Amino acid sequence: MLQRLMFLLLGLLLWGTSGVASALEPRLWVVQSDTSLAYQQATEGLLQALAREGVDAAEVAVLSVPAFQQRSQNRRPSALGAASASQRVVTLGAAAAEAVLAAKGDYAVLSVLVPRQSFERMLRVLGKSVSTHLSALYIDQPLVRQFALLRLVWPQANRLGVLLGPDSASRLLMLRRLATPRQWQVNDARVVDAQDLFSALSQVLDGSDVLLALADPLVFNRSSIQNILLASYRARVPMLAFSPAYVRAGAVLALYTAPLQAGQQAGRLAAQALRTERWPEQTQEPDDFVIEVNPSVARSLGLSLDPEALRQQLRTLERLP
Amino acid sequence: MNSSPSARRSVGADVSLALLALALTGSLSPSRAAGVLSEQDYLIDMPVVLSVSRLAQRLDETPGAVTILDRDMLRRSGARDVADALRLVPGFQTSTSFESIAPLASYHGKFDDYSNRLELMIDGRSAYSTYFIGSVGPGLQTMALEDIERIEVLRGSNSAAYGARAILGVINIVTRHSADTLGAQGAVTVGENGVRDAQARLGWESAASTYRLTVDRRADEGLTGAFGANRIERVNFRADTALQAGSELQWRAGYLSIDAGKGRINEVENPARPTQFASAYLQVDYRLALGLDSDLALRFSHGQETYQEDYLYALTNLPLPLGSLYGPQDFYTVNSGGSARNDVLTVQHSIRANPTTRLVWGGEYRNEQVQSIALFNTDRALGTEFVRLFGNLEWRLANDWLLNAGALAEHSSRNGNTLSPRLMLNWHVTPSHTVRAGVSKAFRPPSTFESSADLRYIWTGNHPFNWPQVLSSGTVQAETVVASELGYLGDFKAWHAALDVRLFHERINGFIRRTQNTPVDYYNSEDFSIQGVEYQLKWQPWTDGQWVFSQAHTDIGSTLAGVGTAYAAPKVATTLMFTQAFPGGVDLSLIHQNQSEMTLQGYGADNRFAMARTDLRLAKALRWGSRRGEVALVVQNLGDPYRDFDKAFYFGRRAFVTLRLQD
Repeated sequence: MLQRLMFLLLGLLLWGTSGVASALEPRLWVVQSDTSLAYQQATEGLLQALAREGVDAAEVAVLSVPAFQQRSQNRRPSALGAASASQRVVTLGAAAAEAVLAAKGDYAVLSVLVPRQSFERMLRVLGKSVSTHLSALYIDQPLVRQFALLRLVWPQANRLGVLLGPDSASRLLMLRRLATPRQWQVNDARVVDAQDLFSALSQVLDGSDVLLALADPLVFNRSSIQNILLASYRARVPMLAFSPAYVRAGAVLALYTAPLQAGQQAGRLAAQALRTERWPEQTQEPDDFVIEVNPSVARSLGLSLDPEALRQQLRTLERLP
Repeated sequence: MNSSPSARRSVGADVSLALLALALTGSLSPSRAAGVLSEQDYLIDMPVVLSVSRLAQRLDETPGAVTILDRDMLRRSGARDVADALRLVPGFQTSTSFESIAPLASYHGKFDDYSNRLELMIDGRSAYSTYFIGSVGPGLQTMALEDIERIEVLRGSNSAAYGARAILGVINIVTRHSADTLGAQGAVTVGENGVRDAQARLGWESAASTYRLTVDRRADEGLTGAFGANRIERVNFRADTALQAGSELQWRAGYLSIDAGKGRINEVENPARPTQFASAYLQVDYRLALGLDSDLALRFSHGQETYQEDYLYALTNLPLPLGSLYGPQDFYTVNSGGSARNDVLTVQHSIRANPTTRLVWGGEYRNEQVQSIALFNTDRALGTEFVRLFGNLEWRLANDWLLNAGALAEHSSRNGNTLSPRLMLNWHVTPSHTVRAGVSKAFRPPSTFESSADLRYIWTGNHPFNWPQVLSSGTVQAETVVASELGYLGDFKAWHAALDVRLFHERINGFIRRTQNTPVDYYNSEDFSIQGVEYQLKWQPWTDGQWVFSQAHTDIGSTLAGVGTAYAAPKVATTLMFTQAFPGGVDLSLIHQNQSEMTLQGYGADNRFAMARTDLRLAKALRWGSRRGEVALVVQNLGDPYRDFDKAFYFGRRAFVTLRLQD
């Protein structure tokens, strides 16, 4: 009984806001997969960038996935009246992107904080393609940038080890194509089952100077990381990781885009889209990044690394400010 | 319990529906299904793996001189056991004789039949022999060479970090991680002098654990002139398990048996007889990362040893007129057998307080029990308990200056309290040139035998006798060493060369010695210094070729007349090793070793002998498919036979072939 009353009240409230909002309908919806810190930071970066571009905070609605679904259902009748105007949405995380893409209604979506592989899979499953109506800003680093960093840190090395799983295997072709002109030789091993990890690891570490970690939950996860880091440390093969958590765990180096940075880039893209009514026609790669070094591991491996200097060198190479 | 078929069916239906739903949601919403890539892979937290204590110190930051014999070096040395490989370490004296149970290795002096002024660690477990006066000999045979990742030799006193017995140095054997030895591997060695070695290893894995089982034997006819063949048989097991949240569990267990001979045929006082030694160990290690900068390690180990050696002595051989009292049927059994065990519990906490300080501290309880009617004239086990507290602070005073300050406080139920402090300063003059200076104090408490021996010949038949042979008065105190050193480590990248120099002065006070009269007692004899310089130059003038030149100048300042202590180490010892890898997987090593004269086991001031030995190894790598292997020919001592252990024992030329296969 109480539940039904609450529901009624909530409905009234939503109806009320949508009625009032018809004049001030937010031009941009930001849908978060989760309320944890990373998504909050991304949202914060996004709002900062929008404010800098002169977009008023009142024009942005920040929603959780359930709130989005609720609002999406309420929107349908009013959307009939204004069929031409599609709602512009930034989704943070894969869950939010899936929810928005699965919802009925006309949404122009920029998917932020998604790995390339998961966005591409989502497109395949839903039978959609990238357009000015549906684009993405990836969380993963461009391979070119990773290669540039590897060369800066290890000018003499030439054997690059990679452990590939079902999610990262498709990157091998691109990896090989980029490696050869950069004097790298890719030494890869496939992990098909968690049981193969040790054999794949010893195969890769045996003939590599550096290990490049590419996100794949079958290969890199909380239970495998210990064995990977210990084995690579024993073999004196340093690892370039893709998130700060791995540096904390014991990887010597990580190259990643912080959620705040991703949010800021998304904010700039959103401000532009609000002006042009278009999302970028190609998916975007993160233009800002952080380099993090584990100083104790670096010292123990005899490496002397200055993360800020490396970041500046990389930015100069990429002609970024 | 009996559930109805319908109920069972409905449960099954629910499960399959749930699976179907899971499969559907899995395909539609990849991020929610377990094990599918999403941004979470970039955002989730990870347990700390390479915590403080796991990180190795760089060679130029260790508080002392360190020589590392890695897997490659061990293989190329052609050595068949650890003791023989240690001759490549500057300042070491080694033997291949089994006269003292197992081949010995000592640093800065082969003072007697046991080498007990070194600490031997195998994966953190102290492996000196409780039964044999703390000798490292039997322990050096614990592992098959194939299972060893590297041997780290800390040249110089290091009791603050490794406990009593590390008074002249530490041999630290690090075995290979079981994750690095998966699959099957085997080796067979056949050659002259009855060399017949065989080894087989199997490594396997489960989701979070890896395992290794190695079985091997090492056999030969021993030194020319020595009695009996030597046969070592061993089994070693290791399991490594990665537990949740950065913790780790390791199990190790092993068994070793050494069948050898000692004495000489036709010698009445020291007749030829077989000896049988066996030991077993169990070690459990648990390591837990408490956070980014702190971790805890717990270790329990148990070790046990048994020894059998006896021979019959005809009492008619006693000097006259005593000998005439006994008839031809009166045989006395001379026995040296017995057993020993030790149990050790260690807790160690490592903390990185801030980027410039690292602290390791902890405690250890060790219980040793020795039982031998022959040696102690009692069937009661003689126990010694040790309680130790240790700590080491590594403080980076400035970017180029590193200070290591440590101490070990030990309470022994037999010898009271001692404190071993150490201070070492490392200065990186440039990133590739380091100067090191330091001083340390260490104690070696007398072993159970040295402090409590009661070895006597007791005859209860006709004309009974009770003759004490070794009777420890128990007055012997711990001997102390104050060691000071100046070291240099240089990396000459442009010349592809590296130089390691150690200038040392080791002051020994109350050197423990046997008295010359019968019954023998142990006492604190003279004070003397061991001083000198040793250095090692590594040079890689061309691709795949390396020269390693080592030289040790050692001066033992013992002045006690009639003993050979002053010549327990050669004044000058030189080793030159050349290795070259050729195309086609052909590998050549040549090792030449030259020592000025020394007493063989520290005895007999007038019996001094020099030695020279040249070894050759030629190997060819084999490969077919994923399988790898190697066939190697080793010729040890290309030159004349040299004396080893006893002036009547010779090490002659030995050629053997090894075939090694790995899947």
